[in-house]
Amino acid sequence: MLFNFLFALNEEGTISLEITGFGIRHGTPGNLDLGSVEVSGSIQELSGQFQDFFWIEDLLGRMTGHYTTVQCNGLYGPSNSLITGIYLKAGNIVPQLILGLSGNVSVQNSLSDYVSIYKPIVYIYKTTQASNIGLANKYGDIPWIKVVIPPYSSAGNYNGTIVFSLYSN
Amino acid sequence: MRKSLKISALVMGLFAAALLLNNATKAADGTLALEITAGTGYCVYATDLDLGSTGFDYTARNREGDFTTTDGDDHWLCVDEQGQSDWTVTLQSTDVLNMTTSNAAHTIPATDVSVANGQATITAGVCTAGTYTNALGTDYLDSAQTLFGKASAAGEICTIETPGVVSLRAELAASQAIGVYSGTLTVTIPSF
Repeated sequence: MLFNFLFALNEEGTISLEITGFGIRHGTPGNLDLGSVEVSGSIQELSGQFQDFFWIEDLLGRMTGHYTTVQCNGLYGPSNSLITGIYLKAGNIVPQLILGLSGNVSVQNSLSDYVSIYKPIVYIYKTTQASNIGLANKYGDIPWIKVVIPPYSSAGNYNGTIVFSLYSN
Repeated sequence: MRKSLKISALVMGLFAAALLLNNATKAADGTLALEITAGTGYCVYATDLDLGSTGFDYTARNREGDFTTTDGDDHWLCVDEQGQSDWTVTLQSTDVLNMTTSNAAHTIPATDVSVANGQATITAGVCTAGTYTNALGTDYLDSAQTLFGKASAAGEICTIETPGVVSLRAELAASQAIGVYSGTLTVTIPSF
């Protein structure tokens, strides 16, 4: 007689994989042409909005946060003339999630209105938090720029550089 | 005198002949018997699979790999020398957790982990193989999936073997979080 033992054995093992990060990078959209005004004995203003994002992309997903600064030390014109009244305002005080998982990214509150960027100011930043771990994303903002033109500024073309810098916390 | 002797001899001869005839029709019965005893058996399979390392991606994609069995091969098999009437080999997975973030939102659910294997065949002995095949993206391991098995019968000795590798796929969501992931695989095999 044959006995059929219908017992079964469970054997356990592991399924594993790793998703790795890359680094952190940032970028700007390019140039902004504010147009032109006539020479005047009064203060004048020109403003406009960039057409694309100032962005920061975190593909590292670490706990440590980071921040960006923005600065423009002036528009240089003819005969060494200089316009230093350069101001920036956030396009949206809540930065836009462009790609990836929502994370702890913010725009500095003061940029809800124009702030001078003659000296560097904090723009878009991510605070250091444990909940940052594993999260990769790309955030951005499309800022407004305002230039305050002093009276009797020389006629000519004025150009300047907006420097957008990235730092780790 | 002579006649009587002759008759006696004849009678003796007839009696002897009768004795010989009676002895030739008798038969003695005996028994021929043998026993084939059942053996045990074993299975060759795998329990671990490392799908390796991949860089972060904003888009959804799949990560796949093939099991390597305990004997370094890629075929799964069971040698049934016990002659069980039927048995199966199954595979199941738990959710695959992000061990780096410990964030439940970063889990790869078992409903996104699938298995593939071809129809197993009998490679030794005589029995009936069960009909089981699995496909990636179709047969998910949130419940036990049968890879192969024996359909019948008790007393039949055989080896049933997959035709090739047993593969596994994990479906990664768009922007699947960075980290090290781990889950538990359970292989259920017959006890021979």
